[in-house]
Amino acid sequence: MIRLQDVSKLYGQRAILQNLQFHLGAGEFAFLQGRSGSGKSTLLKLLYRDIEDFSGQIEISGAPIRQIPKYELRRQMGIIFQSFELLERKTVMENVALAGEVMGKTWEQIKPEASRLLERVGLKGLKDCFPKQLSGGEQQRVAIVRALLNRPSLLLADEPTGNLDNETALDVMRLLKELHEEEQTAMLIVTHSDTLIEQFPAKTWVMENGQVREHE
Amino acid sequence: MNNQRVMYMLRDAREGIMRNLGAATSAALLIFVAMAFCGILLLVRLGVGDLMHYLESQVTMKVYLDPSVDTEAVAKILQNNSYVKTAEVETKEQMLERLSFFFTGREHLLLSFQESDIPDAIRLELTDKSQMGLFAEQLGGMKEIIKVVYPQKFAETILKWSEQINQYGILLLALFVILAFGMVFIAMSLALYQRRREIRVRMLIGAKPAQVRGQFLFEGWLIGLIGSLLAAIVVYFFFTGLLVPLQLQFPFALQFSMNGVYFTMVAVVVAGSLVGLAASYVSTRKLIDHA
Repeated sequence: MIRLQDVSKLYGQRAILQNLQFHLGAGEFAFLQGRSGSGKSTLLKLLYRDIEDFSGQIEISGAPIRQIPKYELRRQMGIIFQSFELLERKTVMENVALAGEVMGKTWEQIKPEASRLLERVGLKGLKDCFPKQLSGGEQQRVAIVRALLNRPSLLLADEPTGNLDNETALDVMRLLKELHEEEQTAMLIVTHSDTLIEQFPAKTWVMENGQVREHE
Repeated sequence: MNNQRVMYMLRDAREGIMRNLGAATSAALLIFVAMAFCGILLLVRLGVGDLMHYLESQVTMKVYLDPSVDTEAVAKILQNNSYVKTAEVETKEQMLERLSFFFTGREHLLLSFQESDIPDAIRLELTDKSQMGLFAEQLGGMKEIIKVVYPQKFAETILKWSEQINQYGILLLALFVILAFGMVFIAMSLALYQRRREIRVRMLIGAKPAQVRGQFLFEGWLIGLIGSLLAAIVVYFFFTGLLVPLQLQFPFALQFSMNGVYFTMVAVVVAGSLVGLAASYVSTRKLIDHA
């Protein structure tokens, strides 16, 4: 699914990533753990080409990402952010539908899948609410539904529980785990939380000094 | 594109415009002023085309001859002069017929002219109108010629004003259009700045730059459309409120047609929409470049 070979990224003189080797298989669930500033978010941004200046090779489904148009690449994946990144002036349903809209789908095509996923994450009754009317956990659920609407083969989550209290964080994580099993989507979850990793055992990659190693 | 999608786009555009209402209103207002001015100029130009033609024909020289002289023979001699483009004989009857529309309702005055002893005249059109004074002086020295009337100052002045109005009007119009363009550009740049987070989110979930840009182009077009629709309404009321009464008063000079009015209104709406669209296109160019 994802393969990184000798990937390096410098910020000025400072090497954030150094000859990084990394692999995530199709349908796999993995954590990427590391301290703040270890390069976790940088790695994720390289994957969805928010950062394009790097050396080495990154492939997604066997294709070098530099050869895939940016929008095409992002349509293959769902992205979840720590700060949810919902549009405040749009309702829950409209925020979710946005992902389908950019794919050129009609409302008739979008609605059934959006409703199914909103019901699945327990937000069916809140589809006409605006993000400000929701709790942090509910907002993150909306972001998850938006990321999964187009049934992507890969879901990238950058500290998805970073802005949530412990209980809500565990709820969101549980939901992601269940959705992984139901949808068979490959998921790479960036976190610095040991608690989450202990509660949800899965393959874990640890980032340190610009390198990544599998946690034993 | 179904109705729901159109409604969604309109709501998005309304949201965008409302967020930036001051700049959007100023832009629409400038487009309105520019297009109303443009429409009125165009409409007047279409309607007074015949008047200009008539006045141009008036910038000629008229030579009155001694009644004992053969007018036709003198006209032929003058026609051979290099200064003269055309030389036409105008009899008393022809002149009175030409003036008859001035006496509508006052026919008794026209009768008094018919009874008077007005000599035949030769109407001369010169090849170089700037030499009119010199040529008139030469003709005036000939004993067979009673009087030389040149040129009809009123017509000349009107034509001069008309040319100046055309020139300065076009300059003023260009200025308004540039201002309107600049204002839409600023409004859309502000919108881009205010909505950079929204743009980023859309891009991150896989929107093509053209899709994101499309929304802003739509908003720019909408601002142009609103401004120019108002301008078209003003053009219509200018026609019905001012030009129609004028036309009724001076039917020989002003000839406005409903087709001309509709054409002007459509032209105003198309031009205003294009200004909005073009300004929006230019302001969002960077969005494509940096996407």
